[in-house]
Amino acid sequence: MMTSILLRPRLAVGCIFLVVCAAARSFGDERTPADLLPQTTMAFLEMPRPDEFLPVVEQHGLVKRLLALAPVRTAMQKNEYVAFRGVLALVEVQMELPWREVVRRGIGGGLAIAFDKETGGVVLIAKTTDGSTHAKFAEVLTNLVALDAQNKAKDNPVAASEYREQKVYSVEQIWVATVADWVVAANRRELHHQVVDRILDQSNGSLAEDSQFAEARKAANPSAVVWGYANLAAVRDAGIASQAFAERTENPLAEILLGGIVSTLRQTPYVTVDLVVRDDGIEISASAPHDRSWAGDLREHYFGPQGLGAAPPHLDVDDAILSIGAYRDVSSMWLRAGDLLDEQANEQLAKADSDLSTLFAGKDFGEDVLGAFGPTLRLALTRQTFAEGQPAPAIKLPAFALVADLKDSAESQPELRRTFQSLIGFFNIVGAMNGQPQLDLSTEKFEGIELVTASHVEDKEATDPEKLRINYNFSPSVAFADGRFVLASTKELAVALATAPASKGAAEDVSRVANSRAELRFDALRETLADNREHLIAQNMLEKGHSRAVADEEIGVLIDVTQWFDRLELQLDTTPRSMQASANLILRPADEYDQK
Amino acid sequence: MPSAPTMIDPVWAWQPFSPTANEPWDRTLVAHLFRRAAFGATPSQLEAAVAEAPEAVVDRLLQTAEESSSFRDESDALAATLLSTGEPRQLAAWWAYVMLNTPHPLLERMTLFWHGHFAVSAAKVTDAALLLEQNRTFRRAALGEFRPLVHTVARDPAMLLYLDSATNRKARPNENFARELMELFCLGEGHYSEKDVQELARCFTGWEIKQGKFRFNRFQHDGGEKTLLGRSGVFPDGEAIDWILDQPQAAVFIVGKLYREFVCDEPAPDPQLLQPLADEFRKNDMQIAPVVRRVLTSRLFYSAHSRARKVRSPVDAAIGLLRTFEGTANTHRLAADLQQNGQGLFFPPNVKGWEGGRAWINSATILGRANMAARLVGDEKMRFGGGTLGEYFARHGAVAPDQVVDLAATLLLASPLPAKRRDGLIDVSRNSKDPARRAADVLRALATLPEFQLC
Repeated sequence: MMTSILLRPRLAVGCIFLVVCAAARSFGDERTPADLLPQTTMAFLEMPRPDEFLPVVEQHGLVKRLLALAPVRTAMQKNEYVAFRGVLALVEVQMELPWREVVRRGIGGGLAIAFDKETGGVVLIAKTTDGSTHAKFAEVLTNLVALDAQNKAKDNPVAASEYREQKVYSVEQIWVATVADWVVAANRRELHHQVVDRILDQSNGSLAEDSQFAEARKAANPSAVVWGYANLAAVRDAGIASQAFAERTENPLAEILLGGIVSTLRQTPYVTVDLVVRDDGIEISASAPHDRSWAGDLREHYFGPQGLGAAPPHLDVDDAILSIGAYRDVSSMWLRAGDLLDEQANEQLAKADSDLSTLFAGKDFGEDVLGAFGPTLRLALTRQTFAEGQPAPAIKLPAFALVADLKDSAESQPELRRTFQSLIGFFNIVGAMNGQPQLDLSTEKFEGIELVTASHVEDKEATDPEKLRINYNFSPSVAFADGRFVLASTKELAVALATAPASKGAAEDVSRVANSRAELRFDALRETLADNREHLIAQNMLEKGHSRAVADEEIGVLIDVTQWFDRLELQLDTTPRSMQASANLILRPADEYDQK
Repeated sequence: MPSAPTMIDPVWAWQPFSPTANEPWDRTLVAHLFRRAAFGATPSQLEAAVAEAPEAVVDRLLQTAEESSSFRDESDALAATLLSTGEPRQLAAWWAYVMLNTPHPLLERMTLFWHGHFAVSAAKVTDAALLLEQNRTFRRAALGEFRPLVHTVARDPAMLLYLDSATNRKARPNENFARELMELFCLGEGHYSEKDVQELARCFTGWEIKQGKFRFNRFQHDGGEKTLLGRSGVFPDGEAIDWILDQPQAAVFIVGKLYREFVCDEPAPDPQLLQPLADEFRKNDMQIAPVVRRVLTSRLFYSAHSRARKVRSPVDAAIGLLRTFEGTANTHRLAADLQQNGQGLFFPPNVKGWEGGRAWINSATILGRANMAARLVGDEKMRFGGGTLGEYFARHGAVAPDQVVDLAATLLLASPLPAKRRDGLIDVSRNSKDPARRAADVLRALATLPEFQLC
């Protein structure tokens, strides 16, 4: 039974051995893994308190929901999993401890993995909380591995040697040793020796003593269960992922989304990552030292003057799936494209500029058209609902919209209205040539809002008015409301966004500016998936070759998984000294989920 | 037995095949029948069919009236869902899915046959709903009556749009459909005159397509007398179609195409050889199933004149490979592969349909077929009989390299595998220790052999 589990010696022996073999006796060593690593460490990831964290994970609602999933339950009945359980049971019997306890004792004092620039090696370091079972486990595991090799008529893959009177086990190119409280595994012998030397000699010059690292660690979130650090200066010097640090990009969309972040990564000395696990969710954030002067004029379109450009608050609309708000001066970016984008992208942009200027009656697209808008943008994606018995498309796409502020609505509004009407006329001509349904233009004014909408003409030939073509998802519209401009895929969304109050955001504070924020709401996403269940099943059948029953089950699981979550919040903040990108996944309360 | 097709005795050819000690009803013959009529046989189907009489097996393949309603419902629902995208390429993936999973592969094969016969391409007719409706027409009539099928096709929006016959006015008759009806659909070249084309075109004036539907515009119809194929009259309501089908050549032409579909690509059959089939076709009011049955149960079909005498089409190669091993597939990718290999479903190259035969094979398509086979059997996400390819072979007793090669060759090849090639495949099989990888390697290598290109 254990044979199948022990097929990969590096995995089975290296990792399991490391984790459990770490049950060495504690000698009261107060050092952390960073005290054992060289200052040439380029990347470091640490779980400082596994003994506290592992039980939290075990009892976490997300894990329980995952384990309750039908495909997971099915997988747990497969031979491979049963065999794995068998090996665990064998270990438990021989260790006279539950395997979770063996793991807790083995790595409970801390776990870290690091990449060293000097040796090019990766090292895993674990600190034990209780070493009473260490020798026993080492014996159990090495016996198991030897027996497995013997059954397969192969040589024992584990070789034993000594380094400074410490026993070192090696499997292929992985060296593992237990030294005092510590278990060290590395894929470079030199790196392994360095760490073992530090444990034995308590020598200076460790990563923990590096001033940059110390500064980063000082700012770590005390609630973080996982903390990571990357020495970006060293990464840049080594020429690793140089493309990611390039000043100019080939992709204008990448510049809009990430241009400011890349400009910081080009200069910041390091970046840290925190993972916080709460009962109601998980938050991961990346922080880096940041100076608002770094962006300079070049990326003023991204961060705003003095780096104080703030994202607008979200607009409250029903059935919102995704809301994005950001400070982005697109006009300024368009005009600075020569410095931001590569030659090929600039050529394409120049062509687009010429075409768009024609469309906008000869106006300069970057200066006059984009320049008419304020420097903040909002994007919204909402579920579409169709009244029962009313015409509806078979595939129900979410509605989407772009919202911006007009600097001078009296001047811009007529121009934008005319351009929209021209565009609809153009679409009608092209659509007619391709047998597409036509759009009917209308204008409405109410409560200070001007609305121009284009609705599809009713398809009287349709055999089933509730399964119309995909085109019937769209009723492209523009709305003008008190300086707010909305361009939406549907009339309903245009009206909703034109009249929507902004969400109450946190009070703006120049010491912490939210440059961009996004929110994904899972309830509306789930409803949208459910609306399109038949289509998703069809695509699953065609793409995976499944029968309808299997496809139905898979899509059911997908929809079910979205019920676990309430929302995902993404945010990019800057302070005068740092930049932080965070993702906060908030779970649906257990009582709400269980009621479903 | 006669040695050349031109000398085949028609009486001998169409007599029912009766197994003898020298010609037993064995796995070789059953596999031949299933390759031609059902895209291939699984090992279980092969064993079951060997235990039955040949006629019983053929009759079971022809039992389309009892097509599983649940599969039809599922397939219709799938098509309806995809239709809402309005994208013909989605339909190609749907049809590939149907071919892979249908419990009635002969029906599907005949649907494909009529798609090639009455060819309409989505490259020109982009309305997926019209293409799907035409496909359903072919499936409904696939083994039914030819006469009503032609009448339906003559009013089919996709066909008339494809042949630029959406408007056909009496002042300017459109000759496209009239010409193809005689040349490609019913009679063949040399059996009508240019004058017949002009007169037949007059019969179809006023036949229009408006908003995707057939409409007869009496104001644009030429109700005058015409002379068509030696008979004068007004020919109202498609009577001209009946007159064309009443020509003796019509039956010969259709059974000739069925002969090429099921018996062999070349040489072209002697008209005398086809005559008994043509007579039967006419006697049965142009019912298609009796002719197909006669062919599939005939001595000629199981003889050396037929076995390994057709070039595998891309559909036969791909669908056959998957059905034989009960494989699943990403049918979007499969449809794209078929297109790349020259047999895009819903995308025949022109109104003549696919040329077939030797035209399937050239240096580019050989490479394309090998790549297609590699993708089909190399995708680890796909299942074969619910498991991996290695598990599938093991379940049918093929574990050792030679067993894997022999099972694959028996199921897939129409002619014996030469010993040297068999050894080569066994070597390929030995390259991998993983059973699934070993089986995939063998099938991949097999798909490049000349023997695999024949069926």
